[in-house]
Amino acid sequence: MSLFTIFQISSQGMTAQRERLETAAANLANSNTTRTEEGGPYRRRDVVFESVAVQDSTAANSSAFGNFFDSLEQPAEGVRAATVVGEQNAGVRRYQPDHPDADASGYVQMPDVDPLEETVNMISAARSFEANATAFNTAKEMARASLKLGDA
Amino acid sequence: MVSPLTDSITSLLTKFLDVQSRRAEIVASNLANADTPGYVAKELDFADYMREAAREALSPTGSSTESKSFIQTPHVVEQTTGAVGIDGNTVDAGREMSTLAEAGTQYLAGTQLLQSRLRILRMAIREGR
Repeated sequence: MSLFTIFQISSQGMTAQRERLETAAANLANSNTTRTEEGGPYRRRDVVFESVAVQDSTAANSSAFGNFFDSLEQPAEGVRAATVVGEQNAGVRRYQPDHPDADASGYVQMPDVDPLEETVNMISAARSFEANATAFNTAKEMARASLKLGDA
Repeated sequence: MVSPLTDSITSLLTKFLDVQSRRAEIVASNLANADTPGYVAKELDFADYMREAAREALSPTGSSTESKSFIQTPHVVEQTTGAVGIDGNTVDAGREMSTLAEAGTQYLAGTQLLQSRLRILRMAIREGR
């Protein structure tokens, strides 16, 4: 385990949050999309996070300064985001007979995107991204401090 | 003869730095998993280990090799306090940020102390100049 593991964990965190932000943006952009390649209106996407064990990037599993933690019982945990597509469409049906995608009775099936929910998701993702970036910066400061030991 | 590079204080400082960097690593894990459903926040239980290490290093008779075997290494435990979120996640961002700041600052303090020991060594090599 070394400081470089923190870089790995935090960058995984930032990647996951960026994916979440991208998904929210895609959902917002498609909040009025009534036709898709697979047919039917757009179905909202969601990301689900899961924790993954981080392999030490350095070959030796020794710590930065000594070998005190050789027998670590638990590896550090990073994160991974998986995108899932909404199963059933619970979006509203809007009465608009002149719409090209309207059904026989004049209703158009709209996507199940809730702009409010997506906005909250966006803010949350941005804040979590910042938290990961802060952890990354702290690790950077720590690494820099230990490099300065050389010019005592 | 005791070398300033391997004496008990320097060894204590390296242990201290290891503990602080491990703490920061666990905080990074918790922050990365702040939105993972069911994730339980972790923390490092290191107080006993550091106290034992300090006692050993500072005791006038203590040798750093003798009693190493029964000192427990710090271990990762699940945080006990803290509210559980609706998805079973127990990460408290405020708590993690304060632990991160603390571990980072302690680490910097540790490197300062280590650096001053190296400076003393260098001064001796240069005959006090």
